[in-house]
Amino acid sequence: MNKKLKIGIGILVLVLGLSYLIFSGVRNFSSYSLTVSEVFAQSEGLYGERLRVSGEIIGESVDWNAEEISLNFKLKDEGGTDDIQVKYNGVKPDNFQDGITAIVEGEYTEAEYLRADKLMMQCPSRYEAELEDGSSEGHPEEVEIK
Amino acid sequence: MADVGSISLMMSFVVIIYSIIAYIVGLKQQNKRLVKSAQNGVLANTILVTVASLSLLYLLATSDFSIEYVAQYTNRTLPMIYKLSAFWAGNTGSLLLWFWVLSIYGAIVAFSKNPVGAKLKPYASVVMLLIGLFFSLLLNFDTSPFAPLGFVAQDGAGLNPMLQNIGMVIHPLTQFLGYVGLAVPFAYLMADLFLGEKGASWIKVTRRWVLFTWLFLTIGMVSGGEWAYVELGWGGYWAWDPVENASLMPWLTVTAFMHSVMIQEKQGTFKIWNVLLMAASFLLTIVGTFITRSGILASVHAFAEGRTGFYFLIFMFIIVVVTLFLFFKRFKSLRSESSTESLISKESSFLINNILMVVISVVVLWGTFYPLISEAIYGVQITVGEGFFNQTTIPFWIAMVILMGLCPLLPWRKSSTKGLKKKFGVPLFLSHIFGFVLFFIGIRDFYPVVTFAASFFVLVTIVQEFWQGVRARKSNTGEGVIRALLNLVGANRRRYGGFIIHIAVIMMVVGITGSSAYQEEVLVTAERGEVIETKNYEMTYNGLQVAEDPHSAVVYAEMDVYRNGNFYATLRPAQEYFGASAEQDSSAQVDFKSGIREDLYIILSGWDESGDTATFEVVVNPLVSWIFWGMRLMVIGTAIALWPDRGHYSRMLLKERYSVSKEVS
Repeated sequence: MNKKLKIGIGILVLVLGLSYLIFSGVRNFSSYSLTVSEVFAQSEGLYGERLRVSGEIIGESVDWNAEEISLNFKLKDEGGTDDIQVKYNGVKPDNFQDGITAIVEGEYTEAEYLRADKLMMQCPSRYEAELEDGSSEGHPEEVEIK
Repeated sequence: MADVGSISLMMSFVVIIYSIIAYIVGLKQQNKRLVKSAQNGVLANTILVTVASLSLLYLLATSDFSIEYVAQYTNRTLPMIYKLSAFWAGNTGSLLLWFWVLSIYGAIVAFSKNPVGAKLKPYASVVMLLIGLFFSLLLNFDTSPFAPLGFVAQDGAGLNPMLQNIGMVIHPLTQFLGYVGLAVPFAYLMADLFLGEKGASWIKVTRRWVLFTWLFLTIGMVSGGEWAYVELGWGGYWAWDPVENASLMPWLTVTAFMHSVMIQEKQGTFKIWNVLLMAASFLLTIVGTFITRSGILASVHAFAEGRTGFYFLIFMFIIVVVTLFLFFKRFKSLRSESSTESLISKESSFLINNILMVVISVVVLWGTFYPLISEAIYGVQITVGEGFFNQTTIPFWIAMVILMGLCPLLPWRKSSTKGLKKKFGVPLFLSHIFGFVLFFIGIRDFYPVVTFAASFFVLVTIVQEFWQGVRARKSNTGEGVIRALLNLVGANRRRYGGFIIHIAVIMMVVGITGSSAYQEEVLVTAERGEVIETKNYEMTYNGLQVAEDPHSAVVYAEMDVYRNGNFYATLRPAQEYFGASAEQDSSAQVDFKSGIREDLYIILSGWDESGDTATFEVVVNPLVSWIFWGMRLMVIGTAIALWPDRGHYSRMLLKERYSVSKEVS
């Protein structure tokens, strides 16, 4: 076998292996980024899908059960009226308050709530520059359970 | 003072343009006086940017709340160190830091005494100035740290509590020194391509510079993780966040470059590859800055400033076009004749190691930008989680660890079976035994066992290498073991410094493997007096206490921890409340006890009104401290490799003349 062929086969194996890893990685670990109203609109089509939703916390919906360490709350789009229920088995992160933007990731179930395994917060805007166009992104603090 | 700052920035803009023109005209007309004048312009620019930076520091230190930036990121009660470090807390300040570091590096290039790069030096300086011009444009015409607020605020908004940590001083500074440091080898590369020189002197001039930069990239990345670990309170140090990935990618390509460059020095091959690696590394630092600046990818660190990201995009585009243009112009002269002879040789193992690192970078790049890629293809943003990065990169990381044991010991060109047996027999044997021992004591997961055994393999090869060197020296010179060891390392700093760096990497690999594969975490709500048990730890919750000072109020739980029944430590996980509006800003202050075996890490998450019950997150992180100690060892190893020899330059020049004459003949 000459050298070029050997190198060619080596590269082919590498490329195939890599594409397999990337494709199966994307299939197993990806989540759709949607807004609350998008989830609301196509609710049934999303059963069983992994989603990443960001929205404002509705303060009065927060139900924290310290015994079971479960945190239930609702999110809505900024200025929107649609909301979705989130159930998270974990603790309240810092700055978890009414009106603050949270990003949740998890499976959307048939009972029409999001079972979140990841909850990230954006910091109070107090520490952020208020921009002219108001598109201030915070520093979400990452909190998660495995 | 703000006027001093903004006027210096404006003057620096003028000086940069003058220097660029003076260099170009001076070089074209071979007018030495004009080139000299341009060189002085570089120095003047450095002084001006330094004045601007110092005046920002002064404004921050004196809490001048008539300045928007000062009012936004500091307040009166902030400790001085954090007032000063607010310099890089925001977008425009961190752009100024980029510019400041770049200007200082620019002066180092322009006044370099290294005879090898003498011809490239003025051209490299022009490139440095052109990069500086971009930042000068941004700071003068897009976003200025000296912009007035319009009125004098009573007090500033203060610094985000999470940024009030010593990590805020170390991490951004080292990260910037590293990021900006890559501008120097990139500038020499561009100069080299532009001139089409024989002998690739850009590589020789910048070798130590690249190592220095790489050290800061490493410290920046690891100290960022350490900061997240001690401050952010989620028990981890790395989350494959876009900005973390942005610091990993150039680190990988520079690491690859440092290895493949050895082959070019030795054999003159890999020229194209090295050019591409360096160009990619520099571009990736700009991509990294772009990700933070543009907020295009939702990230823990993003600043999200309106138009700055767009300007970065244009800048990146220009860099790519210019680089590709010069690259194809010189493509013929870059091609090398000879190729590797044997598959089992140093060259080919270096090649594989390079491919692996580039593959990981590509995968990370793909995953990081997947939200944008998927939006372009499917019309919906899809993010990939940590699982994606772990699953796709772990096999490659392990292969890299194994290669770390092989590469340094393989001979150049061709190797005999006998030689291989002699070198790798003992390490292979011992690492297999080690793997079986691990299996026997209950560590049986595939990846961890393979990684630990591979790490052990590397360690044994390095120890063997040191031992053989010491033994040879002892019998030749009659020195004692310690003396022989010191002289051995001293006489060949690059090689043995490199080995020490490899040991440091192994420590980090072990730490990452242990903490990611065997982390244990419990969430528990305990009543007063209740004992929390996890693994072999027992800790009692004895109610909450409050400590107040003018700056903040701290609610903490004092917990006596017992390990295997013996007293181990008292930990005080807390929630800290900042400022008057207590409800507004609280942040968890984790407490942990670090050990060689594992860290015990406790977060106080919440409590009921009476304080009778409280909720804790208890994390046991095996081997995590190895990562951070590995980083410290890495600094030592790099310092050894960097330490200049006596007569460094004259020897370099001799070598250079020799290699050029060889190539010409």
